[in-house]
Amino acid sequence: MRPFLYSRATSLEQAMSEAAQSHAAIMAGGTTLVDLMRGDLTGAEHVIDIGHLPGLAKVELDGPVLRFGALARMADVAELPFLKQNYPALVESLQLAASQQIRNAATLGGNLLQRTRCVYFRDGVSDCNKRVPGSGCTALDGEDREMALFGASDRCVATYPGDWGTALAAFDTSIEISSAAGTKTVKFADFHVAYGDDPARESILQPGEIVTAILVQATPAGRHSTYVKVRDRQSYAYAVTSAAVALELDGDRVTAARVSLGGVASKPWRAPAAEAALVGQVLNQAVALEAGRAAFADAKALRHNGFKIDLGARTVARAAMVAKGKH
Amino acid sequence: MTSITLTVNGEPITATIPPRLHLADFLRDHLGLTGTHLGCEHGVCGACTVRLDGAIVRGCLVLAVQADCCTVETIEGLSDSGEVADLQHAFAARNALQCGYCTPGMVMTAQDFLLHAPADASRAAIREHLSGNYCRCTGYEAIVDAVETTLNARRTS
Amino acid sequence: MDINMGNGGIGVPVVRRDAMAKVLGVAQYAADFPHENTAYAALTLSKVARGRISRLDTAAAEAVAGVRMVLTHRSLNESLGDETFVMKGGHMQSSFLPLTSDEIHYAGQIVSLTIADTLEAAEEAARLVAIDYAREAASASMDDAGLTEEPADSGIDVGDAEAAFAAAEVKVDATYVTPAQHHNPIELYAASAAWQDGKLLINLPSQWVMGTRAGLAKVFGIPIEDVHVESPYVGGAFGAKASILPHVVLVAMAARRLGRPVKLVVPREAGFTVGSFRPAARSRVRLAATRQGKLTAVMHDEVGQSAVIDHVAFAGMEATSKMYASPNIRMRAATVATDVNSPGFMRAPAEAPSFFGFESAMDELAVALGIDPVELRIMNEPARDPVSGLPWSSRLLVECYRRGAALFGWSDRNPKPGSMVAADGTLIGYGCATATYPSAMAPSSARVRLSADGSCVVYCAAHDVGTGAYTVLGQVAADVLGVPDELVTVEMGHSRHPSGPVSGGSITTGSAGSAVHMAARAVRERLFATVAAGQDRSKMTLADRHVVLPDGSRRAISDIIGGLPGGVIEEHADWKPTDMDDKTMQQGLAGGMAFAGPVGGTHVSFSFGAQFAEVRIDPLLRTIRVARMVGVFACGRIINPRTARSNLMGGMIWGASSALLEESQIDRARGRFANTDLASYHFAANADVGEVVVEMLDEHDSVVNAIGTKAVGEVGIVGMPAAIANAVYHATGVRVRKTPILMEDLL
Repeated sequence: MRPFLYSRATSLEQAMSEAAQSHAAIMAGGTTLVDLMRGDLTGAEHVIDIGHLPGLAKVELDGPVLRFGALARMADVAELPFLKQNYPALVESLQLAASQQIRNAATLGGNLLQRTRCVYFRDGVSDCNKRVPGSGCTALDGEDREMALFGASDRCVATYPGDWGTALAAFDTSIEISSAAGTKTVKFADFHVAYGDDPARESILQPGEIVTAILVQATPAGRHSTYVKVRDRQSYAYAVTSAAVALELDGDRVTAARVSLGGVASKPWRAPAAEAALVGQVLNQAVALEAGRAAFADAKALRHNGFKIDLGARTVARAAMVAKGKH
Repeated sequence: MTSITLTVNGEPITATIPPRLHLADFLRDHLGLTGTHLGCEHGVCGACTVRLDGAIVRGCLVLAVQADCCTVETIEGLSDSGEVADLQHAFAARNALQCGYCTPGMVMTAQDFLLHAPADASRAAIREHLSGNYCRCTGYEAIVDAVETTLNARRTS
Repeated sequence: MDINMGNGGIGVPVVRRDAMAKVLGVAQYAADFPHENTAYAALTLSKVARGRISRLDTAAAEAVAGVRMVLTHRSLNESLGDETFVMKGGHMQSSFLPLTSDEIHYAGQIVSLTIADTLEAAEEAARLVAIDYAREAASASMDDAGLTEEPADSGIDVGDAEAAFAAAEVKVDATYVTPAQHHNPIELYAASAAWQDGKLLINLPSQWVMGTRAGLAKVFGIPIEDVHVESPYVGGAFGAKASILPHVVLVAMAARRLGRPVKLVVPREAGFTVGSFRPAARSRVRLAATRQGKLTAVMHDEVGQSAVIDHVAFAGMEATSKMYASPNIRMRAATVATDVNSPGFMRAPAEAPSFFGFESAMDELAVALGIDPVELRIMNEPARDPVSGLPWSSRLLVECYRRGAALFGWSDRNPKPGSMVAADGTLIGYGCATATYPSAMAPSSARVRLSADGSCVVYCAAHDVGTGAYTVLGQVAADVLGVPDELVTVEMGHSRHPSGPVSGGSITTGSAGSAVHMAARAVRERLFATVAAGQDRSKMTLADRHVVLPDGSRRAISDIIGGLPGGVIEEHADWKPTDMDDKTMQQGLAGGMAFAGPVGGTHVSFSFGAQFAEVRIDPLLRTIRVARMVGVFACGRIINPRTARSNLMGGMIWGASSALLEESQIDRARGRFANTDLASYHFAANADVGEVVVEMLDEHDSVVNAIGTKAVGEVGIVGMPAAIANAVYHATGVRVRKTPILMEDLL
């Protein structure tokens, strides 16, 4: 690992000010950053540890908004009874991610900013526009089973790996960002940037900006929500495909639906076509599969990931039926 | 170099270290606590599992500086205090170890499970909790036996 | 803590004697040994798969504070002894030693070793070694265009299989593919070298301390006695830690030049190319049978991935040819040379890939015949080895199938594919397959010391790679000497001990165990001779630390030995397999590779097993879960049922992992392994494993060796991938002829 300067922030203001300097990196739990630094995948020369800052780990219902402090740990949030009951998709996305050791250390804010698992990005050797802009994308003629069907381009076909981010995309979510200039909120859909456009850039976060909270609009659809993750192993693997579905139901009829996809896109990917295919329908297996197919109508397959079009549709269908069955 | 003060297995420790030093390397090379093993160095295999402020973490994904002002517990600490004596006994009795390299990390995670699990926890729940600790030999079935045995014994004691 | 070790002796499920050291975290692995003033090393690896180094600049690396040396092909500049590849009679993992030329033969080849005062500085500097390459086209996959197959041996022919196949009533002709895989023991490769007065002490995880000692002595041109190899605990090996990996030589060289101990832990991603791997393979299997199910032709053509730098062939037809009775057998092995690091031994290296294809084909034949797959195997059970005509030393495969089928509930199986469905729609499949593994043996020495207090020490330069050898070898001595197990100590894993065999090929118990048995018998003979010269020793026994004389009177061991000079009886034994000549024996004891079997002069010796799997498949998502596995094995005499069961069970879980998860993906465009970390190289996690049931039949083999043991270590893997593939077919009607079997194969 390259040498770097480490400072432990004692206030948010100090952290924001130090983070505005060039080659600075914010560290919360460190599970992503330390791994990336070991692989020499960041240019970080100064690490600002905000992991111990007080007041940023609260999870609370603030009027119509669920407010998740950015430093709340995945493991803690996954155990909140209120959340388990009313937003199973969010809890499941946390429970199905990583391992207990990582969930104990990783934060909700940091989780959103984890970087792709693309082996060509991680190996530190291959041409990769994400790592060395302009060097090319090795995955285009390489191992592409894990690569994206959406939001990719001939510059980058990597997938966004997160579960929590995918689940958040199925809700009306915003991200609270703090900097010396003040605090702003951005729509979650605008927070991540599809890798295909500018592979080196993965979110709108600027130097000096820190994610301080994740805001989810309270919704009755939370109760009928689920996150289904399909992976090669029974546990502890990234999604081959995943889907979060949140429904409002009148009996068996869907009155409102939110669908998002994971493992198949370069950012948490909402699927409005699937939502449209569900709304107004009496939900059964056939309707659910139809919605799944709609979600993947515009998918662009590479050589070895075309199966994820079918599998992804089935994943959406499973999630829709499970969500319907939740009480 | 950065100065850190922390508690390791109940002992106060002060050290001056480079920020890039991993907690697992600090424990092993600086404190001689070699029961914490390294198997992948990027947070996957679980051999380096230690407790940080009471919660199990990956020792290879934590910088030693992050543990400043914290409490760290390793297999040596849990062994010396007797906290996991019954679990260790069950591992031996059920032959839940072969090469033994994953074993200290496995014991750390198994104890974490036992501390938090409901008394009627299933074998599937044990498997899920232990899935971040690889055993390549692979003794998963016997490991689950050992954890289940300990769970039952602690429930009735 | 106090654990009842049992009474000792053969057949007792003694708790492993290394258990407490391991659960307490005090067992010392190679990287745990402290050396005063150690310098740390870090590797730089080739980014290209083939070519030459065209520019090398180490200035930036050398400028990093604390850096002591950057070893490259330029600075090494010293000829090393002509030690060679393990499969050519040497001890090295490869014929090619990195840093001995500017040539690049495979991606991930070591191109420099950087040494510094701290690990952090070494790692930082290793990244700063600047290298340009004159790159040449490379093929790392045996499927690349333009590569040719070379015959690996002369093959096996019995009768006229081609003609019988052509004339057959029912036949199967299919090709099965298995990928490259890596051992990935959880303990990383490591080496720590220190020189003192011209002598080399090296700590490394090793399955072969004697071979490593002999090889390093040759490389450095020093007497064999001046090399000390220490490896008391090995954190998983699986064949990866037998031969001398290149970094070991380089670390020892760096330590000699620096005059300071040097330690290297090879990072996980580097381990994929610093070490060896299981090469990819392709099996074409042709089976022909009468309508009644009698095999009339068995043909197996296997093509394996080899390396340009080393020819390596692992075809498993020595075993598949012996599986079933057939008047016509034809086996052919070939290899394709690729630009990769030399492949090597990995858990059942020949058998695991071969049996996936062979036992899948048997299932296909059963389907074609409409005969139950268990019954098909039983009705083709051979009375003798169908190739050599020799009798088996023991073979209880039919009994394994009968017992396994009962344990598993095979009779509940509806043979129609897709017919068994759980209440929630989950598809259920049952499958079975045969496992076998050759019972080979190697010469071994051992020394046994019995003291007046009844304590006993066994010395042998064998290894416990997790199998339980520490415990098992002690039990052999305890059994002969009638001492309780807790009084036995076993010293292994160091080259100063009497020569032990490589811990590979599942030979340790049969080989080192036979040597321990011989040495312990010699101790007992001396004890008997001392206590009652001239009496009939065959009527004397040892029990409970007493010699029982022919007249029934008892003499305490403490009294007998206490009166001897030195207060101990100590005997050394050199043991060799029955069919081995003395010269080969001496080569083996000197650290050479010397195997006898499984085909001997009078008999053929294999372990056998019947393996069963139940898979559960999500009807929509097609994800596969192995819900249950049952394995029944006949492996001769079981010294310790507790540790033997673990080996077999571990093998079965490994086999399931291989069937459903494991593949070292080869990026063909760049000629290298793509998924070189544990996040992307998947193997089974705990949640992937369902119930595992293992039984060992009580088998008495009076031929194989004096203690009656056959191979246990690897047989558990062999049938599992096919059993699972066959279960997947039964659940879905989809025949998948490759591993890993993934959800997309079933969509």
